[in-house]
Amino acid sequence: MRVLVCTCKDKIKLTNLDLGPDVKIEQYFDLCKEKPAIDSDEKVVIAGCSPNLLETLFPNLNCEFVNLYEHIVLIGHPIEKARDLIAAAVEKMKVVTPIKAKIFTIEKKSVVVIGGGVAAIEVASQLAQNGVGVDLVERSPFLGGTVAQLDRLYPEGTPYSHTLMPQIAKMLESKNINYYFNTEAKDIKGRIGNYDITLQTCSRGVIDCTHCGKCVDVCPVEVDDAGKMRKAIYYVPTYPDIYAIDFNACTKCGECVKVCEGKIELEDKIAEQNIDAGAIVIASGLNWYDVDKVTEYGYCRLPGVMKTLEFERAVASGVLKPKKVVIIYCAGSRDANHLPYCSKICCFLGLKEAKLVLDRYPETQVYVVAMDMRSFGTFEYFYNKLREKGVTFVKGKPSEVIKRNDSLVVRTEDLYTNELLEIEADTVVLSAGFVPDTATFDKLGIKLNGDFPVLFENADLGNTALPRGIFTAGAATFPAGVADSLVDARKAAFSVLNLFRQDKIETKQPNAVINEDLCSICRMCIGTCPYGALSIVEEKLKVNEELCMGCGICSITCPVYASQLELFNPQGLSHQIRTLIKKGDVLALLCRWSAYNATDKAAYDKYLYPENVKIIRVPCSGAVDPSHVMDAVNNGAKGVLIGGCYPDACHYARGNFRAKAREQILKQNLDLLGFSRDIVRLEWIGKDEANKFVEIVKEMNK
Amino acid sequence: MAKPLVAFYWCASCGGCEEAVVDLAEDILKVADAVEFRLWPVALDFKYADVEAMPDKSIAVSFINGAVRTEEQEHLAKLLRQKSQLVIAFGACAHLGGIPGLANVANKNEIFETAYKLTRSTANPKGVYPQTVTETEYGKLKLPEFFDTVKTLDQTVEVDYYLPGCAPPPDLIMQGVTAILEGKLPPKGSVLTVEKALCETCERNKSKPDKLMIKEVKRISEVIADPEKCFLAEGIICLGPATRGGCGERCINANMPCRGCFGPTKEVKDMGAKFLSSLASIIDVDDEKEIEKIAESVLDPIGLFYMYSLPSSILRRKQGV
Repeated sequence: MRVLVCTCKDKIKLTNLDLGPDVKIEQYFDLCKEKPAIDSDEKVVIAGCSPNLLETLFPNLNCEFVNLYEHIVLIGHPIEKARDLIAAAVEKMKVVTPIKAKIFTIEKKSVVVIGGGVAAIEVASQLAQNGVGVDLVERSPFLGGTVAQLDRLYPEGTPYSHTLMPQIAKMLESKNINYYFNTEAKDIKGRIGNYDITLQTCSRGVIDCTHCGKCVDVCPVEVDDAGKMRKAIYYVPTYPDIYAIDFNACTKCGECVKVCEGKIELEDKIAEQNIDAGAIVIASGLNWYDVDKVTEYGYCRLPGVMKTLEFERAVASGVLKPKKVVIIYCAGSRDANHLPYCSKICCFLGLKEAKLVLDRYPETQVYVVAMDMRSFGTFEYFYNKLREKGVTFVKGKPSEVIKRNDSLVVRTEDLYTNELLEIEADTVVLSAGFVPDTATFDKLGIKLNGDFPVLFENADLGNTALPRGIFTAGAATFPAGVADSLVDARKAAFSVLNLFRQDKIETKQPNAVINEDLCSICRMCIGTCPYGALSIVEEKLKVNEELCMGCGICSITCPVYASQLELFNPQGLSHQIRTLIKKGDVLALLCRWSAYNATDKAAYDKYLYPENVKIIRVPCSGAVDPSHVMDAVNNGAKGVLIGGCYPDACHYARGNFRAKAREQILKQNLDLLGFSRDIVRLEWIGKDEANKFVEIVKEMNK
Repeated sequence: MAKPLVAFYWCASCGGCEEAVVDLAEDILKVADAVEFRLWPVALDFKYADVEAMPDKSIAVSFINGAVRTEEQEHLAKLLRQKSQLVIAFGACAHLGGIPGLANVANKNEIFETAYKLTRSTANPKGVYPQTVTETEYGKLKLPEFFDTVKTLDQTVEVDYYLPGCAPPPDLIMQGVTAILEGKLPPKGSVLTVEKALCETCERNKSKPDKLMIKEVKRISEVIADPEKCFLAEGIICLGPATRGGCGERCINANMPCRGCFGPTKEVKDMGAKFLSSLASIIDVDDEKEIEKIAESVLDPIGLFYMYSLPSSILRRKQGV
């Protein structure tokens, strides 16, 4: 094995390093400049300065880095320590599984866009303009999504047609888009560059249409479509220009067939077809929270209590002309019994409804009852304008809505005046939050973080280490307004174009690999993977290379070591520890994303710590096995520190909590075996907390 | 042709392994036909001196059960090793240390104190403890030295094969014996059962959800387990995922979770630490205080995770006593 040692321009003075006949030591005066050739398949050890720097100069190697500069020279430890650190790294490298290059071939350069709202239209349009073939899959018979149901958009109150219609017109200019209406993605197989999607299409009923509208006139079935009445056969003026039958309401009486100038088939059939794609954009939008679950507000029970969308459509279409309106904010939001989160956009929706009713009927009295008004940025102007227009804002959370003498009464406290109020009204609008539409994410096995699927590429907790074929746009990952959705859609389009620019992508990201001779399909690991990369396929445990981020949590969870992380096999770390740790040492196993960086900072800031503190860099605190602690303790270690990211801040989402549970039970074990519970300590150490790291190791060294 | 000579010896054990041989039922006649016993203290009257007088390697195979905790057991293990071509660690105690190995949470003095003084049924007003040599009017009486630490057989002598289990099931014994007689043995050091963990063959594994996560840890004594469902899916600790299979799921079929008597699979050195890691990992709680509470609800972790394997674990025993 090659061991490349850098003297860092004579700052590291290493002499007489001999690790036996199998280990070839190469000394470099300045490794960064000399940049020797290293075969990426060869196992090597590089000793020099911090891996944080060396890794950028020597990426994609099968390499263990030994930090001689920050961990020895700068903090004044004797250079003899280098021998132990290098020897331990060599022992590790001897047994680890080398990283196999992963090649993702981008075979298909077309994209499937799931959804038909503003985000989906924008992403399809942008991609089609750039020459990418698009299959747009929309569940309903018409484009437009949530926006097409609205009367207007906040803050100005412009009709949705100002935004949606030009957008659709622009999209229709592109010829390379196939549209699938009344269609859902039933099954998705394959991986980045080559997905196979099974589509399931329900029949539209209307086959050929002259747009005469006679069918609507004769249809006897009235349907309440979120506050607006329509027939079972209907039309939404977006796209396509063809009527559709709502088979959930249709009684198949046949009246429409009699008057139709085109062709109507009343049989609701389901057809399946398969399409392929190199990437998938999920723009499936959001769902409104079921506000009837907030029973104290009387939705469904009390006439006059309605949802924002119903109110908007009823007022806009002239069906409703209220005199006194109370808009209740956070109906079921920021509430442990309902949605624990803030849906971000409902404050503006509420303001928009207040403006809508005042625009139409200026004499209407409008009350807004809100715990908080979250009108960030320029939305504060919108809020102030409505105050000037005479909307009364009450700070509070209503306890209930009741009916008294033909009038609705909203009971609430007013936190400004400390009074209990009863506000009478004819109309109560419940501004509820939103829940994500996770159907597509579930099919792809994409995990939710809390309530939302945010753990991938172009979403909040994105991670760019691996190429991904799944992108999101708009409100699919979190409630978003039109403006934000459009920006997000363009980002998604850019990501797809960036992917399709390449024919193949090669990465050397370490992956978990499964030894099928050992795996008994016990499934302990599957739920612990933060990325949903593990699944059972044809009665075998499989790692999805596209999803695996190389955290190592599964390999430490596996009760038989059937799962192994390339380059970080648990046995490798065991060998390293057994070689490195001598009686009286303190071992620090530090997460590469946080605690390890604190040791670099300790060196620069001269926070000194004793020389018997020996540091090993690990992918995650969740990639440390209790057996590793046992190994160190068995070798006489005074203490074992596992340093990880703060709670909720783990690079791999949950690795630090896994580490916490292991540490807690291990402490009990060690206690019963005659050790102090504190011989092992899991500590949260931020990347700049050099001081904290040094204090802890000093304490452990006592 | 002369029949191969066989020894069957017990160290620190309960006698269950001897019982397992009797459980061979009519098959035992086949064994008796095929071999000739030269030592079997529980059944036949041979003297240690008879064995000592035999030439080295003259015994074809010695089956040794029980952990090693006294001078006499150590002596016999070494003697049989010297006289035998093959030594088989028979049963969980010889293989891993077994239940007697749990004594490694104490030392000799503590054990004597408990056994000869503190237990309520003991009356020992003079404080008499076992001594290795006692002078009497009839001469010196000797007892073997009682060690502080219980050892596995392979920590005492070289072991060729392991027959796992508490006790090894008859079918595995017959398979092992047949393989030896026919000379069809796997590589030295093998555990004579399957390589994969118990879940591979456990019927209940099929009922396990793909994403196995738990929010509380239950003890089998606290609940009535559903005989169709995976124990772990119900939060009941079962060592099946970490334990070699081949036992025939005897405990599972009696609606008891696996306790690990077949020992770890081949890559695992410390079965207790390994399963501890697995179990802790599936605790689906993202709150430090809550995690601490659940961890504390795992009672007697040594007895749970190391029920059969404390002497073969990395630390082997309690330190500093």
